[in-house]
Amino acid sequence: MVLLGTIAVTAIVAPLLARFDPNLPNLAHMSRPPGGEHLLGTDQIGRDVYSRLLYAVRVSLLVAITAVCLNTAIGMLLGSVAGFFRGWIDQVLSRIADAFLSFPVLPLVIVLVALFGPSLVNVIAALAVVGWPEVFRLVRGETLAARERDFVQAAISLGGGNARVIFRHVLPNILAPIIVSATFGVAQAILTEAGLSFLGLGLRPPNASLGNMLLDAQSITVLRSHPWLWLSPGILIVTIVLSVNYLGDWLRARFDPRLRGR
Amino acid sequence: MLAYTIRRILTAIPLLALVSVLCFAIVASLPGDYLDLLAAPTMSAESLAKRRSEIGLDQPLAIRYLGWLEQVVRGNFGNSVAAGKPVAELIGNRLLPTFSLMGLSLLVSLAIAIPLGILTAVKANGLLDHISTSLAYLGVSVPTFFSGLLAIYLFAVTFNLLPSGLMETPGRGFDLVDRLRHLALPVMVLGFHGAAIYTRYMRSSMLEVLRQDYVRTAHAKGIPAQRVYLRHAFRNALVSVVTLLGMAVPSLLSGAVITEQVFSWPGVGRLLVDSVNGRDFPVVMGITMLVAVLVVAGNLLADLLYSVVDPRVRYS
Repeated sequence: MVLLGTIAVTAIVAPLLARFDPNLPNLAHMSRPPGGEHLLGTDQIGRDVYSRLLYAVRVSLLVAITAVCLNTAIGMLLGSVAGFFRGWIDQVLSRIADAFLSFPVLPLVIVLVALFGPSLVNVIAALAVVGWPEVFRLVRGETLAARERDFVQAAISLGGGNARVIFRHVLPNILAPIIVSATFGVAQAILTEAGLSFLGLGLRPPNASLGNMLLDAQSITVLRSHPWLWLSPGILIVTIVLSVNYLGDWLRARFDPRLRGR
Repeated sequence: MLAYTIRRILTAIPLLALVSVLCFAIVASLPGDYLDLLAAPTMSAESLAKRRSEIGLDQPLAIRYLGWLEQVVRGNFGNSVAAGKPVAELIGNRLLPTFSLMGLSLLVSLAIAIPLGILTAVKANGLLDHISTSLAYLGVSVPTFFSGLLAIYLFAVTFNLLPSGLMETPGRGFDLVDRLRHLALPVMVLGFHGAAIYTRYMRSSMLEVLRQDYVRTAHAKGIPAQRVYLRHAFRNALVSVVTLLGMAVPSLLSGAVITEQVFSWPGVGRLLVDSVNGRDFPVVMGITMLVAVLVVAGNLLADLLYSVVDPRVRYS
């Protein structure tokens, strides 16, 4: 938690902490090992690894969090509509979601990003497109259950409008599981984004992202003699994903009274 | 059973058709085609237009779609733009490497996950359970491209035990030992990643079964514990292994794309990435269709297996 907070804050104030321009090559300082002026060393064309990492985390978190906000919003809207009105609209939406869910995530994102060109916005959009069915299914199920509860039935019979009942009575009561699943969604999105830029389909160079820093390290020379170039982004990804997953577990334990006391 | 199988295959057709229409529409509606990439800047507008009409790029979308579909049904996915070879042949050459990678990884995952899942469920909250839970946690959070690089660093670069990439030593021809040595690292990386996910799954479904009344009855009758776990509980936890197999196809495909890239494995995943980078749409669409078919086939297989492991499930 503390770790995650530190990482997030560091990412936000990255420009203040970075002592070097992350994209500016410095040919006099090529492939320096960590230590001294360059905290985590420099890459083959003399860019400061530490500064690049700061910016990379910033991008990763920005992409993942925006994408998850988007897909959660879509999933909540469609899911509550499907669960609340049931009938044909539920049938149609559920079939579409099932089709999306059965398709492997990475090939789908790759094809989407390839089609619309690799850019920050398109990566976010592609992640939102593949992410919403999961939220949809959760929200639909919760809404189906919530709609039968007395206070919702009371709100309906008192003549509350559909939209009002959904937004005022149903959604606030099923928020907890949605937040938990969104947290795990962020971890997933960070991994997918990193994988995408590792394949060269994410953020375009020279901008740094955690994935393309690893992509640059794919040659045997770098692997063997410049381990700081690939170890640091890799360890950082693992740390971030682990802490986000822990946060998700912690939230689930907080929100779910059945799990309390374990 | 046979009738059910046939009906399931028939109901899968609309889904496949939908996927094909969608991918065709999206691909075709994009600005730019591969000619933009291929053409020399010196080519005149007329000769570009002529080249376009030669390969049918100036036809209306619907006609191009129907033409493509007709060929697909006949098993012809058209020609790759970049390589000039039939798409079916290109993909066909990559199937064996990808399937051997996916199949062996799945075997490794299951060989770890099933026994470990049972053991940790039986001895829940024991030492082994804590260790395996932590490892599984780590395993889910480590992306395969990082664990792949780590594996190459350790086993190929530092200790020089195993080859770091490719499917066989170049110029050596087919050699089973050589092939297995090249398979070892990618299978390990992909297999362990899967094992991390499946162990958690296996553990929770086994825990569920262990809580059932009939397990308590079996214990009460004085049946040895080991026999209760393996004969009574495990057989019912198998149902969830089957669900897991259905889930495995998409996640293995996702994993294979990255793992193939890390290990320069000449499989379908690398073909997809290369074709995407080269805007080679016939190949991209061929692979997308293949993936859709695989996913549908995986789901169908899982459904059929349900009726084998769970006699309550009857299809009619």
